[in-house]
Amino acid sequence: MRDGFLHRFLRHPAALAGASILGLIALAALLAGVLAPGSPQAIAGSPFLWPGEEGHWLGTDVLGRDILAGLLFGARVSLLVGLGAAGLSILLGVVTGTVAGYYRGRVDDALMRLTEAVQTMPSLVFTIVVVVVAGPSLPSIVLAIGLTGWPQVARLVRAEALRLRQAEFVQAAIASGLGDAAILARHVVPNAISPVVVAASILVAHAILTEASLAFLGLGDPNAVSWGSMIGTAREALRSGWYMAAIPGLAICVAVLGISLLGSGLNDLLNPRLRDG
Amino acid sequence: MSGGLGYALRRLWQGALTMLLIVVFNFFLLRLAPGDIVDVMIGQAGGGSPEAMAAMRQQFGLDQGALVQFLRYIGNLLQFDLGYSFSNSAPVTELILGRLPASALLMVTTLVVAGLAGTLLGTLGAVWRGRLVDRIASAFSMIGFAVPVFWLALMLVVVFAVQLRWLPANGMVNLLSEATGWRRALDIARHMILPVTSLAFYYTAIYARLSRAALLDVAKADYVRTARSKGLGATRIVLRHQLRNALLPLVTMTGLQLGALFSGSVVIESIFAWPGLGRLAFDAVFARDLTLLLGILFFSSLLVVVMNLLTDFLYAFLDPRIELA
Repeated sequence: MRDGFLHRFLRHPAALAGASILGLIALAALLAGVLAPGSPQAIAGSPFLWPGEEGHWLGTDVLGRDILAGLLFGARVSLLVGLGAAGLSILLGVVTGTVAGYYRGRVDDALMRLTEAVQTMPSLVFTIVVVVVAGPSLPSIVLAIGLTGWPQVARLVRAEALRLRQAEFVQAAIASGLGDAAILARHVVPNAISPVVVAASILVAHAILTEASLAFLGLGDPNAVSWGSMIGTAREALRSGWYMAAIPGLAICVAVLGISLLGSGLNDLLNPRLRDG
Repeated sequence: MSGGLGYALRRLWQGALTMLLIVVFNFFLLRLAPGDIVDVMIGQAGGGSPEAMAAMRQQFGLDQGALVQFLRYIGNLLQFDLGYSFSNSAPVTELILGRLPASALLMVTTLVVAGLAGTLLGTLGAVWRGRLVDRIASAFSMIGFAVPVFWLALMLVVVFAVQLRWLPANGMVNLLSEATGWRRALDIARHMILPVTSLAFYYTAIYARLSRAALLDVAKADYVRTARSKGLGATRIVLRHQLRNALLPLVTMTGLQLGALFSGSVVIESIFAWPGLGRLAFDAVFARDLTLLLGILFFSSLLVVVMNLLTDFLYAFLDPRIELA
């Protein structure tokens, strides 16, 4: 079964392209310190160097910081925030959705109101408020983004849990006197998790885009260079050095495109019925 | 008809509960902020006299328990008193209502543009499914999802405002002109082109994808087969039979996406200095004016709840088959 999946994965062009793009970005993030030694916030040359000038492949920014170094270290921030926030959303969503769907009734009503409340608030405004309250740092950004993403996961998992509650193997577990916690952990969650796999790719993409927006608005971690903060700095120099904004923006596009390709590829592979939808 | 009324009342009740939860969130965040409400309100403004601050603490009930504070907070919100913005030296409610028209203009125009363009793309894709047009439309929506709104806006500014000098990239009107009437409207329209294009890009992608899927879905319906067997032309079937039914999911989606649209407008308004709520939020971030930020969060959530209720009712009205129990 696993072998079959891997085989199909390798022959799926979109999934393979997405995985390769993400693999390259992850490699860039891992090797950032080797490829561009020193701090990406340090001044590396004269400012306003266009790509290729004076040995800076991608040029330098308004202060003379190397843009390539910024891109490499920015990949760390994007991947970290993307995976961290998506992980938090999945955790919160799976717990909420499982409990709501399994216990139904009032618990379900209450949790669904909570889900709706979080979905109602404009997510970027909510994220901004949380970051302003907690202070801009990577952990608070991950927390703020993670807190907005879980409702979609909760809804997906809840629908599965509602269905699983009626399944024979769950009914049998209840009849055999197994405790609720064990039933949820062993029988409900593992079987409710498959729709989450595809949702996860959307969450990661959303988190990367949101972090970029936050950093662009000046709410990024002041001690880290991120693609969004690079664009924010470049905003003052649109007239004379538009490449400073264009390059990190392209990096965001490529990363999100890679995630979307991988996500839609996984969707095809995991839900073959929907392929001809 | 009583079923309809019961449905309406239940949805209203749910909407009210949602708002209550959001208020609890707001209150919680205010309490988490360093210092108390009075510190947040005047401390960051440069400080007030200790006597004045003590008087304010008493006025807000800060010398009493959390429950009393919460009840006062809700009492104020119910009177639509969202507090006082120290950075603008004005009541938050007044600021928000003053900025609302500009944001509403931007968002409604964006929805109309994106709705028309997206439905057109989706229809082309569904009619010529798998052909070149469909592939181009699909590629466009994939890119639409990946491009950060603020980056697209900056790149449009570089091309159309900085290099070509065709369009303005700042504000809502030309401050130097004293045009009125149609000339003024034309001036505003020119200022809207870049912000609306940036903001509509993403929504065009969503509408294109959704309308394509919805059209393909209804293409299998019995009434479409009937129409075809009656010998109706393909264009007529698509326009009169398929599209009309496929539009319903788009209505619901619009309600659900309003919050995201508002988020997008925060970024776009701050880039184009558009005098709306988003720009107000951006300035509040810079001044660390939490009262104003929370007021905007509350107000925009209320807007989303109300719009969602309206789309629900509209949906029930458009499609009487929806169960009203």
